[in-house]
Amino acid sequence: MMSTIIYEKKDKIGWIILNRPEKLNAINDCLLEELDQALAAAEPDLEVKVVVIKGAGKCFSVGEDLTGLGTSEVLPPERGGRLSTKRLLEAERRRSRRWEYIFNLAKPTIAQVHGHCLGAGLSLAMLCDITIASQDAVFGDPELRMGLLPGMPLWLWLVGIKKTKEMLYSGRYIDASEAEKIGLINKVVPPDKLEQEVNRLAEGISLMPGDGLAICKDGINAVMEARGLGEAWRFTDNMQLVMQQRSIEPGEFDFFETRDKKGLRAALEQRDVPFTSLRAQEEEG
Amino acid sequence: MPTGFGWEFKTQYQRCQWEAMEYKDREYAHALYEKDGEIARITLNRPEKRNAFSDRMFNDMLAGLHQANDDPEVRVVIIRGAGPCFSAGHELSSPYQEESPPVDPRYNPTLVDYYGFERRRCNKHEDLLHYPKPTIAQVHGYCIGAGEAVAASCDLTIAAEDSQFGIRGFGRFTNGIANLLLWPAGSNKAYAGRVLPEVSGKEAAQMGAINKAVPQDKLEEEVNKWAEALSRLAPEALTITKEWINGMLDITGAGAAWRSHYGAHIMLQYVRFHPSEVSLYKTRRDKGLKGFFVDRAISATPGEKPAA
Amino acid sequence: MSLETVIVEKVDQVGKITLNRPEKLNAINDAMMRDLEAALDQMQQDPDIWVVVIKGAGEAFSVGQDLSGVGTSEVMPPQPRAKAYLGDMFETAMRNCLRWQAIFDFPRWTIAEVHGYCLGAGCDLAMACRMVMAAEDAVFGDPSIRMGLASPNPLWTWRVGLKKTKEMLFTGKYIDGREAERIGLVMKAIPPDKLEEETNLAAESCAKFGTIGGFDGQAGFWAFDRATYDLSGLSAAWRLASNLHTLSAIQRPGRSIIDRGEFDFYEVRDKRGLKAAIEARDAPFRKYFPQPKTPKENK
Repeated sequence: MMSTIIYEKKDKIGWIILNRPEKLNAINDCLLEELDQALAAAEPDLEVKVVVIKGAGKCFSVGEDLTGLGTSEVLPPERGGRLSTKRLLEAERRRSRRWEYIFNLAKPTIAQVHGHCLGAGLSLAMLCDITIASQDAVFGDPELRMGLLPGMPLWLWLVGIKKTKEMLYSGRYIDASEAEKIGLINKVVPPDKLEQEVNRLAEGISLMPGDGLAICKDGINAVMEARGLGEAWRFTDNMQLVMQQRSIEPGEFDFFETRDKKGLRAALEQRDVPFTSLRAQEEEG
Repeated sequence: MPTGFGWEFKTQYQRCQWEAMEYKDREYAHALYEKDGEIARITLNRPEKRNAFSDRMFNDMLAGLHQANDDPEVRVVIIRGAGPCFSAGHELSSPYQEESPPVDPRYNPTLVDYYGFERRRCNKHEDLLHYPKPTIAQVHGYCIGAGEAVAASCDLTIAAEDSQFGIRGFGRFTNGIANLLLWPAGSNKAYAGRVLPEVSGKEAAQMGAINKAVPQDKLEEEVNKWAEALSRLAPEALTITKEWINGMLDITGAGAAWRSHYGAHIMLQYVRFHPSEVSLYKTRRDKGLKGFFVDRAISATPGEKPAA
Repeated sequence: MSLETVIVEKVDQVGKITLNRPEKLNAINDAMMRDLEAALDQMQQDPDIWVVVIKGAGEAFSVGQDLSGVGTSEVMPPQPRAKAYLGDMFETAMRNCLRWQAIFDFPRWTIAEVHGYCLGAGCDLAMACRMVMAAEDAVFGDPSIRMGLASPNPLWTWRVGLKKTKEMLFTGKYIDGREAERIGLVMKAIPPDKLEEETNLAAESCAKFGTIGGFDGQAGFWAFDRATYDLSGLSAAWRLASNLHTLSAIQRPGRSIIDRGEFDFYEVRDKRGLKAAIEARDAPFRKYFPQPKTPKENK
């Protein structure tokens, strides 16, 4: 029985609901495993034409579960561990292959985003074919602040080199209309219209022939592959290893050490406070 | 058989150009180097020439990058221009021995000369792109040609809203979609940049070609805000992330596309102007370089004809 | 050389090719494809033509491939009930892949001047030009998916990015000129009564050419630009898109999408006519993806 994912099939649409609302749908090993199961159910099912992914509760997902509990597939191993380079590489391959598989699912995917959509949560939303967000959605990837490589190649192809560097270096959060402007998502709607908009889109697409949709999607993804996306996944795996094996400077902010000593909340504060001047909420000129 | 240049002319491009540029006991003049805690500022400093790139300015800029890289305290490098603008591009009336002006046909360069010469010119920008610390271009006023290439090669480009990228009659040397400033924003916009090359800072930000445009009196503050934010990150983590993103850019073809860049530069050395066009060679001879630019700009405007 | 389905003109340094089947909204059939290629060829032979403008006669730029089934064996894949061999289909597809690339490769400036409908292959033609100028109320889209076909045109992601590409091609929806400009499909959306004037201005500007190398330099630039497109994957993408388009068109009687109960465009067309078939194709989607009104409907 799945606990962190709810999978429902209704009128040719497969609904995958991230279901850890008490943890803001933070992504851990269990959720990824159950997500695999839901996708494995949806993909070959001829009665499912479109897959929609959304989050239960207040938001889509705040990203990787940073508690470190049950997250061996989600976060790199603790520093000073004894894992060989080979094992680290295998772990990265597994992680990125899962993302690639979701990107290449033989059915169209729609991400329905409300509230926070960060880190690995944002990666999931980006991998879906079409992303619809409510006005209250917030997007960002603060991984670099925690010494983690953001590891999602699709950034470069979606928003370009300048915005990729800006967003991933700063880890700043942006609102839905900025996300739409830079090419990260397709459309922004008022919060009370989100469900209706996604339903309308999913139903409309579900009327197309399934074969046609599969080939149409494969054709577009093949173009992305020809543009280098395939190589980028493998390159990303390699750079993950470089990041995981780098030397830590004395005095450098160590997110995970701070979490272990002072708790997750304190660690998050220390991570984010220095960057408040770049927050989405501030008035833009 | 040596030509007007010969091999001793600065054709060698195998070394990273900022790494090979000495800064110890250097008298920075055409570009200045200042260190402010964790932030280094390189200021292009030929305001009377609108910061046109002479060899000395390039070399001072490269030396500044070298110095900043060697200094373990420096975490972010800002490149900006003194005076009215960021940079108007290569200094075209430098002495012929310099790299900045195009090779004068009088000196009978061979294709081999051009290769060395143009690869060196274009490699500067590639070397800046791959610089291991984060770089921010602070742009105001004109940002043309080589100036645009420098701004594009920095990680972040923050400009004044009324700054101007490109100028009528000049266009862009990097081609449509390899143009880093516009990569990979929709290619319609990239070609717009060929036909009507003037793009304001505000428009460039809207296109996603630069990161942000702000009123000019807020420019310094905005750039400092970003520099301070970036200086809080673990330097090695940032270097690795930059290497990753740049690596992916290479994978998308931008790495090989630099060959298109310098290939186009070489191609341009051989253009012949049609009788109906304003010829660089003839007009420069008759009216000087300035006269050429004036005529060229007029001729590139529909409905206008330059004075005889 | 007289061409039936296109009109060829020259004004100063600007060549104009007008798609000329206005009674069919400039639907592209084999003859028009050939005439278009011949016209471009003819213009390339003339060294005085520095810019080519492509536009449509009558009310539209082009509604795309001619779906009548008559005189379209080169531009449309065979219908599902035909017992087409793979060999024939792939040979035609490979030829088309090169033909469309040749249009994209045309070495002078090309500008698409778009008013009214610009759909399917018509939209592909506009995208193959270097610049698109459109009326604000022009209508763009590619409804191929509604007939179960994938588009053979890889340029979408280069023009509008990955997200918008999937949105447009999975839904087959139509958007107006203003939205097209916003997403980057079109360079500029213009009030309809100013379209011709502004396109002429843009053409003149291209002919005078904004970069320092003059017209000579322009040809050289395009050669390197073209290489850069390929370096970023366009050649491979074109072949892949063409192959997958062919796969989408291959259907075997007994296990085709029609046998699975999907919409059979060809049956409706044969029974009730082309107009009815197009309506049957699009009507189910109007409540999901509202269509912008055409200029005719706006009057």
